[in-house]
Amino acid sequence: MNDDAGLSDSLRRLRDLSPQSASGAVEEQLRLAFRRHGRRQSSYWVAGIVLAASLSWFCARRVMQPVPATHSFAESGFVALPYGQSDVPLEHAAIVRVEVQSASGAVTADLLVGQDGVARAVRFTQ
Amino acid sequence: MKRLKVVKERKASEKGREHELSEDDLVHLMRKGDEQAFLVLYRRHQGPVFRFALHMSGSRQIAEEVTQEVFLGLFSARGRYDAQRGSLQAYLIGVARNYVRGHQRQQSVLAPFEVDYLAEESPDRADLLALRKALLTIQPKYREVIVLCDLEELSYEEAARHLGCALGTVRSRLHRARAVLLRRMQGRRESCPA
Repeated sequence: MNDDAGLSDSLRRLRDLSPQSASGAVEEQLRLAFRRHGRRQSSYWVAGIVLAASLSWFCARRVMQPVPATHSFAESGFVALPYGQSDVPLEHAAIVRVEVQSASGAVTADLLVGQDGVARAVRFTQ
Repeated sequence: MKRLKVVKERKASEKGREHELSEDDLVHLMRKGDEQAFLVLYRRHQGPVFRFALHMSGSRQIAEEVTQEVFLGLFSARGRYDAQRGSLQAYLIGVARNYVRGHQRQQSVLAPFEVDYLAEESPDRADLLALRKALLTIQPKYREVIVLCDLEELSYEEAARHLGCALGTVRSRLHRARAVLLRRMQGRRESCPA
């Protein structure tokens, strides 16, 4: 190894006698870590969806206006829906404002929704 | 075009033929959670990353730790590989450099380098161990050009890309590194003649 060529030869020998790759244990550990990472990512997605759904529900609740159930439909301009009959007595209700597309354009209406989630009556506002 | 790429990736992934895909497609699949794509990338690049870390640190254990850290970083949030900025291999070697430097900072305080991985018995083993030790004593900026150009046999251009420096810098560092190595090996021979 007295000259440049000798040094190059020795470096090549050093390279050839050295390990060429990491052991299989490294690959196995990385494979497990990759799976754990994937599961964690999925759980973040699920948590995000649950959070978004909760926020939507919370916002929707704020839009809904609770109505005393003692009000009669007619007094407040509501018309009972023909298929809005429910076995559950109307104890608590909420008004949900919706927009319905008709041939003449968009129509805004209020739906009276019972505590069981069944729309009982409708009131057209426009 | 993008849709065609997605269909191509999906088909290759379903048939377990990730090795036919380009590097960018594999990275894309890996980020979507495709384990096979990750393994193809790992098997393709772990050798150069491991050998770089091995020759830079002189320790098989450190080289394996560094390799693991580099690939953990590739698929986790730490991985910020951007194909527009260079090849994946250059990125991985760049990350490995940082980890090796971190290990070396700790190691210089804790313990000297180990050079025990030259397992094979050979008549010039003593010389090779001496060369290994000499290589580990030169400055990292000189050692890495020897590792990339002489041990990994990369071209000067490739080494410059991997190290993020100019071509001329690689040339001058390599020239200087080889001169220092030769001087140390000659000094050793004079101090302990056969």
